[in-house]
Amino acid sequence: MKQTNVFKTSIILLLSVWLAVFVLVPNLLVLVASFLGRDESGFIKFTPGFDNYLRLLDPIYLRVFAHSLGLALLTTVVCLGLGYPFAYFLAQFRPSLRPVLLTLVIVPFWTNSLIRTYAIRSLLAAKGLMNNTLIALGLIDEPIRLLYTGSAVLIGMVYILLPFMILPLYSAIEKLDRRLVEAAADLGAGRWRRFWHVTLPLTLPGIIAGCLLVFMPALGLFFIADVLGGSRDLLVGNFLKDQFLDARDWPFGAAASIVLIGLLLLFLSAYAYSLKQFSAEENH
Amino acid sequence: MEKLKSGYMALIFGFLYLPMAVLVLYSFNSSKYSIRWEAFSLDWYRSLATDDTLLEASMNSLLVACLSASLACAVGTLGAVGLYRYRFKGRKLLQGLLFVTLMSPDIVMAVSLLVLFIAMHVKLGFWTLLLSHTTFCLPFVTITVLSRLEGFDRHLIEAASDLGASEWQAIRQIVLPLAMPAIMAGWLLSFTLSLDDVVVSFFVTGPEFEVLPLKIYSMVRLGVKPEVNALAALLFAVSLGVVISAQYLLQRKPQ
Amino acid sequence: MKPVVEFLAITKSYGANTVLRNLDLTIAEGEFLTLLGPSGCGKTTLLRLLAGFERPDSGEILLDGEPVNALPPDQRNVNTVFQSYALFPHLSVFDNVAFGLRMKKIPGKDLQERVEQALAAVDLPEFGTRKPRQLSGGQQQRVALARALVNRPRVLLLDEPLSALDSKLRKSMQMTLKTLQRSVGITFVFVTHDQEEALSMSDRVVVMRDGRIEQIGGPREIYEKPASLFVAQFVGESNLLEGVITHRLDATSLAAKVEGLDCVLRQTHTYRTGDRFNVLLRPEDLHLVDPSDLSARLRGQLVEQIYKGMTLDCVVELDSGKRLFASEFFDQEEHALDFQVGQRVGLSWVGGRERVLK
Repeated sequence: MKQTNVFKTSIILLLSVWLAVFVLVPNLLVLVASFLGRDESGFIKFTPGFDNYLRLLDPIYLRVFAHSLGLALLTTVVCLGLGYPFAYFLAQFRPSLRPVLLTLVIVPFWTNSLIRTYAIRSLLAAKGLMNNTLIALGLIDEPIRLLYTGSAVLIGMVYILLPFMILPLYSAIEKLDRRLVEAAADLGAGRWRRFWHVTLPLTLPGIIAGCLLVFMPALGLFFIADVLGGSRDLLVGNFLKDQFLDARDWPFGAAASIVLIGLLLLFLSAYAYSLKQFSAEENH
Repeated sequence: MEKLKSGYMALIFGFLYLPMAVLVLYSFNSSKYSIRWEAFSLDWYRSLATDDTLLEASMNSLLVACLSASLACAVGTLGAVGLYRYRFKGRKLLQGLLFVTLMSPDIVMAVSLLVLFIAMHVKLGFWTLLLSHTTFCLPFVTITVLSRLEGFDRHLIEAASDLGASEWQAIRQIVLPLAMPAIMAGWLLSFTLSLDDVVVSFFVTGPEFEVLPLKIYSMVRLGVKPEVNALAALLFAVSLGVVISAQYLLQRKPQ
Repeated sequence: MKPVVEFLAITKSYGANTVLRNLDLTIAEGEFLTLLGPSGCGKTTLLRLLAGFERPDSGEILLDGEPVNALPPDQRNVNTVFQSYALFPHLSVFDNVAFGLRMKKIPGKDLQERVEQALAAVDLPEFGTRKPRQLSGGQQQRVALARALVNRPRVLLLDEPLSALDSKLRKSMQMTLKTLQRSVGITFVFVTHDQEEALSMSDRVVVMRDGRIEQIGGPREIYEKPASLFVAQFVGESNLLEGVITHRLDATSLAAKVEGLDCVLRQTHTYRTGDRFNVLLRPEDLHLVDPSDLSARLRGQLVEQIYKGMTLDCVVELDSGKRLFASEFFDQEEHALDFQVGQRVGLSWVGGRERVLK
């Protein structure tokens, strides 16, 4: 019994301590830093206050945030629009082929996103495949500028993050009890009403999870903007990188990071809430 | 209707795979700048093999990937066993923390770890990279292993102790063998996760310890280079191999 | 008989939920004892306490006279057959059965022999190399049995082991279990919520309710002389008639009215005038007769007849609106067959078959 307790305590402590030291404490440090100021040489100075958060309200930075949020939102909407039908069809596909197709979605999920961004870049380059194809088709005469545009960044974001939307959607749709949809049909609901009143609400946790997995990284993936958009398309991620690694204004960067964490927690509680709604319904 | 569905799926798969396919194809093209196909060539792979800084960065990356995957597997598996086997105060909290870590975007983790290491006066380099990579792999391993264990009958451990096995014997002879495919898959996924990471590495490594993704990042920012095509193709092949084996391990029916 | 297990004043709660209340129970050497009750009555908890998976909040558990409260499951000489079987999926059938012996470090040759014996005893001699998933439910069940029995435990605990099997397989497993128990002579403690299973297999049945024991007795005693209304209703089908004592006749007999019928109770119960009571009548004790027949004790209208193969089940609605069930066996006098639904009928039973319950 005693040995058991030592073993139990030590394996639980190992994981807990690791997460505490490398997740909890660092984020608390960021939180503390966000309320501090800095001196001329760039070091943190102990001048507690909300200055950094107030500075974020400066139109220059607000524009960065607004632009970044807008792009992330657009990416999420496009991914959801493309991903939902895809996941739906995948869930209905012949069971024999489904694992293979699923693996095909999972591979990009785990593949180096920088390399995938680079692949998009070479596709969109002035002398890239896209321009050449368009010229060959006679749609344009001259290579058009695709890279370093807002749409290039959007395409890159969607390209990188689409699998992150499809996977949670697929697992939610696959779990959906087909008999419920059939029951709705039996009770006289048409195709759209079945989707709106049965399928959509029942797959809501998957939708929220997918949006979370797309929206949050879309705020932070600074290298996509770097590689596809030049440096003009400033994202929160690029902003954080600048504040921490170039401008060395840590407290200011920390404040922006805390705003991101706040967004994350908001999303996660929405997700937890939707899951709870479900289990509550099932228990009734 | 069925045709339409399959067509749509093909379109999405095309979108996901066409850019990579083109990249791989052109890594074998002898032409340097044009996208016109000239001839099959392994020149770019050869020039990769002679680039010393690139080779060093690759070795560094492989080292960090292997070590952090192993460390994450050790800590994560034990943690998963603890979460599966025992009810304790703070269990929900621990699971919640794992979930938040899993979901949090790279940039948030990168910033917080950088702040931690600087505050603790740890020199940025190999060790900070190893600890950071282990941290973002940890929730993947723990949750993969835990979800496999939870797929098994809860009475299995009770059965083992009923038959005379001590706690440790039950874990070694029943729990670990059952979790093994998930542990191996967790290792493989951690390995690729570490090998592919740009954001966290960018923040927490120092100038003396360069890793492959950052090397690629600096090459890519300068423009399209055929060597990068070759390197990208290689890394893609590694990811492909690893992910397919991991999927095989995870999708195999629990025996 | 020598007791092998004694539960002394056991209490167990999970949070605010008290599962066992001050329970005493003695299990005799070599008997087949069944714990019977609805879900949540504490029967599985009692089993888990004996196995060592749970600890009592208070009270003492004795195994062969020794207290085992503090002993972990791996150090108790009892084995369990789980409801879900809990066969180790990664081990072969042989290794599953050998698991307990290996833990006890039994040498190779002896181990081999004992495992083979155990597999032969459950009729699976050729199955050693298979994996559990390659077996049917009934076969897995028998492997689980062999895995437990091979350790020659003092007591074998069976937690609703037959509940996942279909009814035919279940009947044959009941036979197998009973025969096996007789041949190995090990004490079996069997948990079930199926009263038919309990009656057909056990030497003694313990009926439990809300963490307490309602009645302990042989199957026949439980069925024919239920100690309480709960036992009467839980075990078997039952008709309950409400009665009231009208007055005392003499020292051993009381006058009562049951469904408007005057009758005499010969009871040692301490009833007083005005007390209410129930009369239990099993459906198979009731017979349908012509309403004018002298043996008819109650009268009513036949409202339904259900053909069951072996029996014909009749529903009779009394004038008071109360419905009674009667099962007629075809091999007996076939009165019931003469009646049509909607007809008035009389109900009779052999005196003494009724049971009076407070």
